[in-house]
Amino acid sequence: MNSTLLKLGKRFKNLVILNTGSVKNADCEEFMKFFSDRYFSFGLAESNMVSAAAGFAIAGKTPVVFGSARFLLSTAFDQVYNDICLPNLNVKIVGLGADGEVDKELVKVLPNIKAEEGDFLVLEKMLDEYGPGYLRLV
Amino acid sequence: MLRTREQLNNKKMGIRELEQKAAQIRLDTLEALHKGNQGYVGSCMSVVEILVSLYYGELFGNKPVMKYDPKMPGAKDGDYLVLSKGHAVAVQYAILADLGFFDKSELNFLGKPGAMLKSRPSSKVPGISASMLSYGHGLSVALGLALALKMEKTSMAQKVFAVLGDGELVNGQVWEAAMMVSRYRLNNLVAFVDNNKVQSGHLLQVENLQSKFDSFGWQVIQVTNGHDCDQILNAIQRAQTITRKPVCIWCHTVVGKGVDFAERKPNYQDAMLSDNEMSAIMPKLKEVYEQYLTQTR
Repeated sequence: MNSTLLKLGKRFKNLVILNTGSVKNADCEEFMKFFSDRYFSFGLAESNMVSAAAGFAIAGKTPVVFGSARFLLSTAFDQVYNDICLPNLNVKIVGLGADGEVDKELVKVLPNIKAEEGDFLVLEKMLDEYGPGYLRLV
Repeated sequence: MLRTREQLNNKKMGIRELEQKAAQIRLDTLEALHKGNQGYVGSCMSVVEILVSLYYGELFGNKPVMKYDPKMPGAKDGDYLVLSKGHAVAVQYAILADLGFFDKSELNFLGKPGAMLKSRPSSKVPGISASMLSYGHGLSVALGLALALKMEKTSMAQKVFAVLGDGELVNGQVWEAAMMVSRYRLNNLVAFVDNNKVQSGHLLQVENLQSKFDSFGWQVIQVTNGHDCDQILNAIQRAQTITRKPVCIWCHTVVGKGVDFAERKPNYQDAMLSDNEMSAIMPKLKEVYEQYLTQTR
């Protein structure tokens, strides 16, 4: 009931969560229970999810995209680069279950995006700013 | 206040006027492509009538197909058009310039360094909602837009239109999106497929792709002649009456339509016209346009 993600959901009324469900996260599941209309599960289709996040951002929502840190950026690199970073849309990407260094290196070559590492408190700071962001959840 | 037909011009847009508009847009597009040294003549020509019917067409008498306001691009209560076949954006530029989203002189600098109009759709251009810098992402972006619109109770009347080429249907992401769209039963999304039967790489046509949409839970409406505005508008009218299902309007078109030596020629799909070809085709197209002018008067 008092997870940071829920507080963020209460504070930002236009926040929506898109999730692949490849890595379990207790906070996400709690968010799904309380804000079921703002939680979308896309299944294991990372590229589709990231492009759809661009659509949400164009319509004025603030999408937070959850996926596995291991392969979210590498699977959907084209989508993150062309649909989110170059048009500079307000989409936050969260990599769960940090493992390996690939996502850290990949995010360095993307334009406009701000890369952070930390917990959901860092996400709150990122949501205060406009623009694409990548959070490597540890 | 979004556009009403009276605000734009007092003339009612019948089929005749739409065909005349299409002839005019063909001229503008070819000129812009030639000045900007841009290719994809065949792809641009095949999508003209679909975009013209969307922007200028009227349903059920006088209801505009798409709600938009040239004075206020990106208005909150407007409809969205996602041009997934982004290489044909020159047609959309010609239409937006004609509607007054930006000045027509911008078309002279299409694709030039530092110009506003890039060779792929960019959201920095007034009237274009989504940047399409890669292939096959359009239906996914439209899915996100449609889901976001469904969240708002007040925006039930808003529509999302996606225009796809047949070449990008081999991209897997299109089918990921197609599955999700029918899973959420997004009846506010209408996808057009410009099936001009020519693709980059000259891939052989996959048979019965439209039935794949059908088996994913879409309603497929066939338009046997994608260059007939009447048929396209009829299909959109039918799409408006279908609830609880997303609609795919499958338009059979001809690559390079209107440019007589390029029709049905795969080589012209991504080619640009030479000076000689331009001087051969422009008088013919002008003649067609003027014919429409004299007939409507």
